[in-house]
Formats: sequence, structure tokens, C-alpha cells
Amino acid sequence: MSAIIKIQYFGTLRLLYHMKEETFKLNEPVTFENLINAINEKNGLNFLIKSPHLMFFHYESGEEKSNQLKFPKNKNIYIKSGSIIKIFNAMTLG
Amino acid sequence: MFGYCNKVLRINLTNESYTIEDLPEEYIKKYLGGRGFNMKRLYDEVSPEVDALGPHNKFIIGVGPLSGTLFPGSARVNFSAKSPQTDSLGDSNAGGFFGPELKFAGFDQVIIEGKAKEKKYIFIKNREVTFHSARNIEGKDVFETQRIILEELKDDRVQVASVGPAAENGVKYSGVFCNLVRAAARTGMGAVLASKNVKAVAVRGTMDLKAKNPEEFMRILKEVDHDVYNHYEYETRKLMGTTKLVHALNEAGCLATRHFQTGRFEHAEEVSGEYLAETYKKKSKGCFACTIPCSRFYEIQKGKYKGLKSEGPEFEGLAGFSSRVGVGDIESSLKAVDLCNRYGMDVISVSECISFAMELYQIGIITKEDADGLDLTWGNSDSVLELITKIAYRKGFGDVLADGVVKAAERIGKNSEKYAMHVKKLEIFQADPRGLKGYALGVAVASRGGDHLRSEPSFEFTEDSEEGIRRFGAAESAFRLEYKGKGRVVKFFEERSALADCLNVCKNTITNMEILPFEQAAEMLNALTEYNFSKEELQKIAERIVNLERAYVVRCGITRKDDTLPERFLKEPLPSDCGQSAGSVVELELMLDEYYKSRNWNFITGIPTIEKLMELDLNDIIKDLY
Repeated sequence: MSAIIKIQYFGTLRLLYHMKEETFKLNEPVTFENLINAINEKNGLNFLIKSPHLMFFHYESGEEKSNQLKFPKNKNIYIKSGSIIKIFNAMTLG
Repeated sequence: MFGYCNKVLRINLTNESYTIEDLPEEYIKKYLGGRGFNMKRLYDEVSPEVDALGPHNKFIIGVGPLSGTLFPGSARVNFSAKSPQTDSLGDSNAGGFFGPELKFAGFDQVIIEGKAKEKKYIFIKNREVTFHSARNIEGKDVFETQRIILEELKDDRVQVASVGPAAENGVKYSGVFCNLVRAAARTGMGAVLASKNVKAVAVRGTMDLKAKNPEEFMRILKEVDHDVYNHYEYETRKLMGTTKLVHALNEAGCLATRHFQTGRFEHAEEVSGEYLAETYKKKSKGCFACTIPCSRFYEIQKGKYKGLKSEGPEFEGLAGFSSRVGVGDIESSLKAVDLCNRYGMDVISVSECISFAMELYQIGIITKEDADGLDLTWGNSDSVLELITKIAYRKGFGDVLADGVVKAAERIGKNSEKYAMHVKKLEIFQADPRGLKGYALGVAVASRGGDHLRSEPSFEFTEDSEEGIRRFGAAESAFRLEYKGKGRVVKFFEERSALADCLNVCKNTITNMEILPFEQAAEMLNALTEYNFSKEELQKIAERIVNLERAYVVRCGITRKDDTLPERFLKEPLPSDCGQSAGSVVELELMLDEYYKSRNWNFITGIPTIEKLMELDLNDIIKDLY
């Protein structure tokens, strides 16, 4: 069984990857860590691994709207097929 | 002398004379530079009773020991006076190139007193001052003014700090602008300079700055550069500057939208920093000696605003003229920011005044007739642009808004004060305090009024419980929607911000990115100057400045009752579409107690205790407060 997960990029990742979103098709079960590894493998830059502590991951699936995930703290959480993950940069004002 | 010029320029406009004074050593040891110098001067020489737009107010320019060195971001310059907008402490700073040039011209501080008999601009070159007629630039916008002065002085390396027509027309939130768009626009410092009949201060310097131990200074500088380049925020700031915040705050549910009626804007994508960078950005630009070129040049190549090109904008202008006024067209937002820059006005105050009027229009407190026939429906960008011009020239309804949102509410009446989003008469920024409890506290207690830049407690975004416990004694301190520990967080970041402003280094670097810890700052200053600072002394200097400013505003009548927020943030929960921020209000009192406790200020009055003032060697001001 494959899981379809949509990633939406904001901030640095969007500008460095030159895309707003992409869809990943991964073998189930998909952990958050599997997903991060898949993104890094495809897009390079290793940005998510290098500075995960101030990346913000908003996880939206059917019944869970805008849950926030942290990496690596939530690395073992299972990501449901059909869900959307929005990735933001560190949020400081200025 | 090392690090400092050790000279203060005092200009008397009334008789067009000037004197050069030695910088008192007490200033260096107790107030360090820039903001610290200016606040000490303001406290000692400008009584809270003076008319802010009268000849007895003083316009003070200050730079710090790192100004003019290669330290990244050390390009800031502080402009201070009693504020005509808030009737209290006025202070604002800008980046660009003016600050370092003032240092090359041989001064740590400039004090401008009196009032010129006719419109003038002042030219400071290598410790000499000349006064020039400004009749030919009277009423000109900021861009034209700076272009003409450079032409007249026949030196394109001259740096100019000027006001625009808004200041000349007495708009209370008009600013001082350097390098066209570098705005020191908070608290109405432009109005003060214009009230003295001064259109601009131009400066050119070719004097040397020396470091006591250049090799050691450069060694530490390399460490700092390394820390900046390797910081997790480096790429983001380089790509988008502060405009990254449109999406980030919108997703957090606390982007100021339609005058804080909600925290989510349906057109956030179309007005985002990402969209701006992808569609309009031409290249990056940095301030003097900065390693993070966070500013951007943009150009609109087609459509209604074809040909508009400028630098910026920052988040405050972009969100102020998009989400805050309900406009989803980024090109008209860019036009609005450009107008404010040319007229010389503060984008935060202008966007508050206009969005305030739009909300009053929505609920029927004002009508189309009250607004000179303008349709103030949310999102009407043509009305926004027209109103900006009306404010700058104090025409019709623009005149009602030109003194700030508090005075506008007084003139409009009909209980409109409850919709005025200000603290201590200074309009607040583009983030909704209900979703950022630390920022809410910081804005409530800031010495210059509703201002996030006096503290910038961005630690509350980190969501790192262990760091929260280690640094501030509470896991909750690392979470934006929690309260515990926020008093200590705000105190710490107020002092980091004071350090940044005394060194005249950008807060993006020192406060937000937390580059240059106090200990490293001491090492750097000891290599640069002939003084021997310790980490503890620098912390104490920063704390002293916060307390001196508090004492000044207390003398202006400010007490704990003024350390508050507009009613909406205390009583109206953020709507259900605001994600994790939904349902939030600000429970301010507990945070205030914790803040006063950590500051050792009186819980009831908010006045620094005698014990605290003595601890900070501020014995001489005790008599002013007790």
C-alpha cells in the first residue's frame, strides 16, 4: 500500500526548492522521519536535517487540522495518506 | 581615541552656531553608545514638560562604538527627542549608511537645539558644520530632497537624513529617512526635526577610526561572521528579509487582518514575502558592512503601477497595507509603502489610522461623507492610497488622522477610542498580540509605547521546553501561547535590544538571531576600545538604560495602568479560523506581575524601586521619582 502525502513549502524552502508544493508517494506505514528523509533525498540541501529545531511543520489530515509537529521530537509519528504538511521557517519577528 | 570619537556636536539653530564638546567618560562607562547616549541626554536636558514641537525640545542623533567598523549590521543610528506623537519618550533608529558616516565625520552624538529662522539643511563634514538654505527643497519628498542635496554638495558619498512633506505639514508620526527608504519613523522624530525648520542633516566623513587591538578585534569579528553565515535564519533573511512573516504569522493565526478582527487573511499567499521574491525581486541589498543583505530591490513591470521600483518593503509595511486593510493586491500595497516613504511617514501608524477608519466605516461610526466621499470598505486600495496622500498633506479627513489614532478617536468621538489599537499613544504592529503572549507583554511595557522592537522576545517561538527551563525557569516560556516565564523572557530581550541599540547593531542580528552574547560583546569592546568591560557590566548597562527610560516616562505620567493593551486583545477571543491561536485573549496581569518582579519595580505603580535604582548607580534620579 502506498500513502500519498502533499508537502507545501513556505519561506526558505520554497525559494530554494523553487516550488510551492509537491506530492510524495511512499510505502506505508510512513513515519514523519521517513517523510523528512524522502524530502531531503529528493531536493538536497539537507536543510530540514541541518536546522530542524526551528522548522515548523503543520500537519493537516481529515480529522486533525493544523497539528504542529517538531522534528526529530515527533519523528515516529505516523503520517496518514491524503494529509498535507506545510513547512515554514523559523519564526522570529523583526 | 579607540572605538569612540569622544566628541559631541551641539548645534544651535537659533543663531546658526555650533560647539564641539568632549563626550563625558560617564556616558561611555554607564550608557555605552547610541540609544544609551541619547536617553541619558534626553533625561538630563529635555524636561518632560517641554512642548515637543517647540524650540526647547532637542533633536539628538547618536551612534555607538561599533558604528563604522566592519561588525555586521552596525549601521544603525538613533534619533531621539521628546515625542510629539506620544507626549513622552521619542526614539527611533534606522539602518543604511548615515550612522557610520557620522562616525567618520568625527562625532558620537549630535544635539540640535533651538529653531532656525528659515528652512535649512545642515551639513556636517569632518567636524565642521555649515548651514544651507533649504528653500528649494521645501515640500519636496524624501527621494527628491536627498537627490537635490547630493547634487548641491557635489559629492555622492554624502549621507542624508531627511524629512518629507508629511513632517513639514506637522504629521505627528512622520519620520527621519536615510538612504531613501531607511526609516526612523516611530514616535514622530521627523515632526520634531521639521518643527526646528530643518529639512535634512547631511554628513560626510573621511576621518579614521582606530581599534586598540586590531588583530584581536578582527579575530572576534571573524567568529561573529562565521556565526552569522551558519545561523539557521541566514538563508531566510537573505532571501526575504522580514517579509517571511506574512505566511508564518498567517499560519499561526495571528496576522493582523482587517484591523485585528481576525488573525488569518484569505489573500496571504498573494501578498506574501515568497510571492514578492518570486515575482518582483530584482536583487538583494545590505546596509553598511552587513553580511546579511536582507533588503531587496523590486520592480513592477506591468499593470497599473508599471515602472514602480524601490527598495523593500519590510513586513510591517507589506502587511500594514495588505492584511491590515484587507487588500489582497500586492502591487497596491507596494505603492502604499512607496508613498509613505516618499512622504516620510511611519507605515505602522499610517496603516493603523487607515484600518481604524475602515473599521469605524464598517460599523457605521463614520460615513462616506465623513471621509470626504471615500469608500472605506475593506480592500479598497484606491481609497487607501488616496487617504495616505490626504494624511501627508493634512487634507480633509486626512487631517483627522494625521495626529495619530488616539487624537483621531478623540476628534471622531462616538466611543471610537475602543477601536484605537495603540499603547501609550503609539500604534501597534502587524502581529496580533493574542497569539504571541511574550510580544503582548513586550508591547504593553515598552518605553516608547506600543512597540515590539524594544524587546523582540522571539524565544517564545522556539518550542524548546528544555531551553525554556534552562534559560527562563519555565518550559512554557518557549511557547508563544503560554504565559509562565514571559516576564523574565521580556526582561532579558529588552536588555538584548538595549545592547543592540547602544552598539547600533541591527536587532535582526543581536536580538532575533542572538548573535554576540554579552560575554563576546565585552571581548569585542575590549579589543576595540581602551575600556575594560565585563559581561556583567554590559548587562548592567542595558538594564540601567531600560530603567532610565522608565524613569523618563514615569515623569511623563506613565504608571502601571498604562502598561496595557487595547480592549480587543484582552476581551475578544481570536476567531475559530485562527488555528492554534483560536480562542486566545491576553491575560496580561499575571505576566505584568512576573515582569515587575524580575525588574524589581513597584507592583502597584510600576515605578523602579529605590533599591533597584541604587543598584544601577542611578541614585541621582531617585529625587525625580520619589
